[in-house]
Amino acid sequence: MDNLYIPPTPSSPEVDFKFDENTLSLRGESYPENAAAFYGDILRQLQAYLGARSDQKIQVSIALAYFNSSSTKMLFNLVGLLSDAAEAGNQVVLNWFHDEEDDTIFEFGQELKDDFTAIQFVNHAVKSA
Amino acid sequence: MSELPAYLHDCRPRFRQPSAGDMCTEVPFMAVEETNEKVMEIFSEHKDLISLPVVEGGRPIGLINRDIFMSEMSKPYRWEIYGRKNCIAFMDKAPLIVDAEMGIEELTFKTVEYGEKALSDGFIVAREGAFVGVGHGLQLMRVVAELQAARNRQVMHSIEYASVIQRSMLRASRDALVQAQADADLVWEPRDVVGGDFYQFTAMPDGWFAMVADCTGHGVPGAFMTLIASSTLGKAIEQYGPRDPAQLLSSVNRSIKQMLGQMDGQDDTPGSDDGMDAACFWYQPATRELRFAGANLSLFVLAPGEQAVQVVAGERKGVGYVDSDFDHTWTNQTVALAPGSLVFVTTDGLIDQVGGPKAITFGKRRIQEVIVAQREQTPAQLNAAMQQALQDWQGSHQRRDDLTFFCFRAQVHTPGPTP
Repeated sequence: MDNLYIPPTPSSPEVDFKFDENTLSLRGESYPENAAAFYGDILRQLQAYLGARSDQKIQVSIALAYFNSSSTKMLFNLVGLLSDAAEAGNQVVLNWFHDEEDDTIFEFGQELKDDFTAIQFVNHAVKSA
Repeated sequence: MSELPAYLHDCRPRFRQPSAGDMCTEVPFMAVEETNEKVMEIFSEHKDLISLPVVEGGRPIGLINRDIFMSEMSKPYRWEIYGRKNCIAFMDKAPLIVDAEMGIEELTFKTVEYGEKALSDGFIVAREGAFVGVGHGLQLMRVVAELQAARNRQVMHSIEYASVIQRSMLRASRDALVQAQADADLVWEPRDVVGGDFYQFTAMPDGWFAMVADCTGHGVPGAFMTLIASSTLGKAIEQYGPRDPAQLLSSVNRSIKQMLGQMDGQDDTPGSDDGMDAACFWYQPATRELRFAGANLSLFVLAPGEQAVQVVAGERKGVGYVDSDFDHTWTNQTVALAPGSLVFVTTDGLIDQVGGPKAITFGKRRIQEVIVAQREQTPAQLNAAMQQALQDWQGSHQRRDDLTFFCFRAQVHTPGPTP
């Protein structure tokens, strides 16, 4: 299937899903007016991709500085799909990036880590330049 | 128009979307057999004429650009060779020609697609193929800008009216708060004119109930959610009374799920997955006992003499969402407030606001710092300082979400028995 790339806007993240390389990346901020519309197709494509994978190592990177409550729901859904794929025998590594001083984003990552234990969660506290 | 009764004739202008025909100004034009000498004459006569259309049998066939024409004719021997020849020599044979009925949006796209030429020289307007006049880029831009402004105005007026309704709904709660607790302050700031945050205060003789809530979405959809959440909460309070916040959350959870059809398993893809995060409590001044129930929101408490703010975390379960079980029950946490304790609750609009030199979230730590720094002040002063701290943090960044926070100070002296 084709890779998925959506360029970033001020209110929606860059989506860079290289399905052929098993690397998925989400970067930027997420507060689109309609989060369900923005993530709907992304989740569908992700699901199709994950459904066709077994015994694979999938690298996921999420670096989001802000996401609103509707996007939070969508992120949970997204990580839920990854978790299903991990339970189905894939090795899923979730690289969670946050500024070293940003407790809010750090804590959200910890919630994901606690909720989705099948995923190998790697926290990256990014040092300031 | 003539059959309209005379008494309405002048006062009922018919609304019509502007079209290309409205862009069109009557300009001098050339018949195809006319000469370049004539073109020169017209251009000299009409100094502000940018382009001159050429018509054959009533149909437009081209556009002569003044600058191109002038520079061509000023070359050696051009006047002698072309002066008496017909005017198509230096004419653009493929100008943009549009029908007078074409809508402004389509016209704008067409013009942009056509390129600079259509913007600088203008475009020819025709009706059923027959020449009508010429429209210009600047004029088109003016109309587009006006149209844009009119559309914005219409939407904004609608939202401003919605804001009147939303504020009216919240006013009763403000009044209840003033009656219930003197030493309290509330900040409610929708990011846009209306918002997805709301609050509810209910005063009883023995105490009062407070809720600060953040519904999914902001703006108009958020405001819709506040109406649903607030009215279901009102019903729940009528039914169960205001003294059991956990039960109220459970009740609102069921109502929202039912109302929006967000019943897991009932339908594979419910149309919506909306709900709210909330912090709510019942407080009895006589005992200074606070009964708290939270859905993804926390309670901040600073007791006099304590170094640090105590954070009473709410449950990690939103109210009403598809993945919140229909019969999920929240639990109350009881906090015994020391006399003079500060209590602070906020929606995530404050916690998550992006700002600072690194464009990161404001965070709970900075909230706690402000509470500690302002501990001797009144709740109103503390909230003002919180707003200032947020504004400083936000700087030139955009506001990301709606904002609601509430602060009160527990009575220092135990009030006497209520009559």
